[in-house]
Amino acid sequence: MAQFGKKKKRVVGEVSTASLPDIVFMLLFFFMVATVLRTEEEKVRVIRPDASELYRIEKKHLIRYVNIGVPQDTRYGTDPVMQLNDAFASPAEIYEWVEKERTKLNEAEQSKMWVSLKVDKETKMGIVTDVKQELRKASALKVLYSAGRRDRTGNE
Amino acid sequence: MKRTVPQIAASSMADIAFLLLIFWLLSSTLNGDQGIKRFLPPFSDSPSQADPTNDRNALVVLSNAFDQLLVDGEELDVSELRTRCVEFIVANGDGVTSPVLAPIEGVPVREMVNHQVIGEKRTNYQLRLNQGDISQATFNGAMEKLDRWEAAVEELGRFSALPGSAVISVDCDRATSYDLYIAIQNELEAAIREQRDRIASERFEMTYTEIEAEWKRQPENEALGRQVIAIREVYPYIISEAQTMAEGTP
Repeated sequence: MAQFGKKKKRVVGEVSTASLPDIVFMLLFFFMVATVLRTEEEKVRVIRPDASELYRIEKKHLIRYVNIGVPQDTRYGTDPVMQLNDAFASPAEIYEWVEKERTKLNEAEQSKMWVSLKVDKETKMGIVTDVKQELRKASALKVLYSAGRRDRTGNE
Repeated sequence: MKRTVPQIAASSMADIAFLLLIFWLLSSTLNGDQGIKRFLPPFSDSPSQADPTNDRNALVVLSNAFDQLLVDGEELDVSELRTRCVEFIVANGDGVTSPVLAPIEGVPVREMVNHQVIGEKRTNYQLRLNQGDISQATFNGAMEKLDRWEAAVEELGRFSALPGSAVISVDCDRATSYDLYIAIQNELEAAIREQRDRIASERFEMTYTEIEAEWKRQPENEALGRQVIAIREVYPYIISEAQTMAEGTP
């Protein structure tokens, strides 16, 4: 039985984990540079419709969001409502909101402000039309109907 | 004497970094927003009373509370809308890739543009300005348009222009679903983009989308800019954000 006891121990080279922090830090820095912190909480449920002819706005700081959909919290009812920043609002409040948001941009960029309408696809057009009308009054004329991507159809 | 430096335990460093990474992943959003872009018309108190339903220069898309479409008085499915829209904007031939045909029933009449026509129009506008028929602002606007036409003629040789009153208007009932609205807008957008892509790839061996993207990357490249402007003149963006019908109308 001695031969078993004499068995030579195989030495497995240890995997060095010294570079792991560096790798992870690199990832972290990449994400810190490439992303923006989430600023608002979604209080309404928005499932965006899909479209194929999309336009992408790269300058994120120029976008202001208007969310329209059914409240997440059913205590607020089941009718579609509008959310500006962090609170529910009525379309009549848009004018003031646009003015306020516009002053947050620097002067050269104030005319470049985009309003992105994030509307749930089940919503009826009524409230959307009201919002559009108010945006026109506030001269916030650049609008983006936020949508998900789907493939192009047709004869191409 | 050799001083021994105590080893720093770096194994927890990875954990700390991971924690930070995960925090950042959860609390941030990647890149900007995408969707269908639109420019709303400036606000006016009096909605236009004109009824464009019978006008050949308007393609009127109506939708009702049951998500049914009525395009120029004809019931259509959303999938048929693009073809109908293409018929409308191509009209009797754009003059670039297809010859100009005789006017077709129910669509706008495109008008052939060349240097001579532009010259005549310029003299005409100048005359009317001198007589006081039109204001200086109208005159300047017309001149700008003629300049763009001139640029398009330079670039394409010849083309046929849509009348300025040609418009596609979308009007939805308040109970139409947003999903359908976006589908309509998407089809109209696609129709115009397809036509622009078509003439661009025949003339410049690149689709319009590619030329535009390239121009965005190098804005100092004037050749690309001229091509983009020329294509836009042949197939202008004519989708209008009309006011929604009052409640109760069909």
